[in-house]
Amino acid sequence: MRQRDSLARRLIEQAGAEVGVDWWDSVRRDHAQRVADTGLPSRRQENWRYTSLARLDKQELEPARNRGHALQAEDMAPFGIPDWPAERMVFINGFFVPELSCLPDSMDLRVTSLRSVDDPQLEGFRPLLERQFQSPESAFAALNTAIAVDGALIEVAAGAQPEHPLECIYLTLPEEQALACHLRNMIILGEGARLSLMERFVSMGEPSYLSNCVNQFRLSEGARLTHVRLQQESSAGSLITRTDVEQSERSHYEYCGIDLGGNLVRHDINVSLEGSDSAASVAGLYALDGERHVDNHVRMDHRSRDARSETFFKGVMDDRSRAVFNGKVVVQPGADGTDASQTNRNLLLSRQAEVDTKPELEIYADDVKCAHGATVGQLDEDQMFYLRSRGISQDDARVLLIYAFCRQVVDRLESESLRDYVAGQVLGHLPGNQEETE
Amino acid sequence: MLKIENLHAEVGGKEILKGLSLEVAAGEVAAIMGPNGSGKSTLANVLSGRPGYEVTQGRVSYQGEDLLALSPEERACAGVFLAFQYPVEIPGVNNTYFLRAALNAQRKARGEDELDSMEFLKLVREKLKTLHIKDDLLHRAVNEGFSGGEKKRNEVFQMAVLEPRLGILDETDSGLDIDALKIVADGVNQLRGEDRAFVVVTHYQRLLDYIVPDSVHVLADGQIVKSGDKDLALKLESEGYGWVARESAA
Repeated sequence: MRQRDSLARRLIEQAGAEVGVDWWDSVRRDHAQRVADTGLPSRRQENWRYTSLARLDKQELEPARNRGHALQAEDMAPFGIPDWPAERMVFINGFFVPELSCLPDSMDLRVTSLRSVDDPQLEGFRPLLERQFQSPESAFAALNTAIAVDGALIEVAAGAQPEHPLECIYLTLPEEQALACHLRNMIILGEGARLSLMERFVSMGEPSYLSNCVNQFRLSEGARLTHVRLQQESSAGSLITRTDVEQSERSHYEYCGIDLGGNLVRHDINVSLEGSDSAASVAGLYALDGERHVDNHVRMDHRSRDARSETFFKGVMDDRSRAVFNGKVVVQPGADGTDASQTNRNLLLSRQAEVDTKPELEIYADDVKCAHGATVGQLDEDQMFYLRSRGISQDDARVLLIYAFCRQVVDRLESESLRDYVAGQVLGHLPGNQEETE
Repeated sequence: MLKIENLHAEVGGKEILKGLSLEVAAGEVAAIMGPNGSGKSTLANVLSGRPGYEVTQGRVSYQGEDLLALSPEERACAGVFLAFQYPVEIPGVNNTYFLRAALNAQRKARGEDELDSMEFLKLVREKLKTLHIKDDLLHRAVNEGFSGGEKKRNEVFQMAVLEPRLGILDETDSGLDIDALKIVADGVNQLRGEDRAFVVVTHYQRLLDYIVPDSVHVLADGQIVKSGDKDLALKLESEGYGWVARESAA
């Protein structure tokens, strides 16, 4: 047995305690068995071909436990976003921390944590928690089902449009042992409901860990979910996430993900356009340096008529960093009137950096419009010279051009305050423009 | 102000400038004319320090300094400005932001205070007004989606804001209608003065009706083969370049 498979077994064994809810425990046991049978993914699987999990082998991971923390409210101040009022859920080392959170007080927006609810209240979320992750490529989601006991549970009532966005901060603090954190977030939007969700992955210090999170979003008819993700994990932290979105008629899902940190990062976004006239827009930016490895997999599954989807990712790779983009549009039989586009543009800043990009189309219907394209390039010499010929230094010209390249993704953010904040984070992170910390 | 001696330069291993010598004094507008392929644009690019243009021999001194030892941005900060023949489009970089970054980089290099955005905006609005250029150019990305004429206007606008000591115009007149040509000429004429010089590279005499040169130099096969006053340009216009080539061969 590979070391990695024993890792999965060990995590399950150590986390193993039963939750005391029969159906849930049974789902957990089933998935634990599945992970034991299949092991974690390997590069022999097509979906994992460009992402090796070898980096996990070096870590002595142990399951996160709810040990409490010594943080005060003011310790969270560095994560504040100016002029952007939001409800806030804070998770530390994989567990919800109510005293640092600021939850809405409304019947329209129900926000709780998975660990704090009793079984009857889980009712609406049970089908999501019972979702079967069977394929070996979904082993991390199965592992999540087997282990996760906490996460965000969010329900927006039909027709409700909460005033403020909901911000989920996943904070990892250094512990003696490298932790494996498992969060399960589930969001249900009622008919015509709206929600703006912001997910942030942050750490203090440079802890080493593995976070394995699963998001499940269910959008009822006419619902609209805006989902922003700002990933600034520790350079020694690994993050495996999966976001499954189920969309009913006329629903909208808008995603904008920014990857700036992490050691090994993998995000699978699976959008299922089940209702006609639904629309999904999934955009991402990865700006990588050092030895980071960031892999984004997007699957757009057109299962009904007249649905629209857009996948738009841009990336900048410096040093020895490596990015993977895989976008797949599947148009199922009968999904006529599909309009799908897929774009991936990459900028390589160093000879050692690498990107593997793979846009794919799988079309089983006739009346469809699909466009896809991928590019990999370097900074434009003529643009560089133009800026320098006006007096701008070579380093500044580089930052200016890279930032301009990134802007196309950041500019998609609707809220000006959020856009400014994210733009600042991206700019501060760009090669040659990083502020010294401590 | 500018002294070029026996300049040899290669592009992609091919020698284009073959011993070019030229002197331009402060206050002077020098026109460089010549047939296609004679090396006019190469000269402009070598003077501004474009990568890929390799000087193999010769010297260029600018205000007593070795110009060739400076990087493109150092040349710009020292007051050298190239108006491009083909200004590049830079999507995502706002024209105003770019120009302010450029001006402040130059001011900083000269030990002057940087301008804040209000001061800068006041300056650019004045310049736009005197050049009769519409201010929508401020809000767009650098040259993105600009017509040929708009791009050239943007070059002149940048020159007006940066106020260079030595302006090099690389066929800025090519492809321009008469209105755009006047704006380009205005930009140069307004900057003309005792402490500034211009090298105006052009294929046609037309621009020189509006920017009247102090000297005219004919460039052929990588060398200056004839120099004269503005009447030389008129003669070239009516008789072509053939006679100069024959005369210099003789």
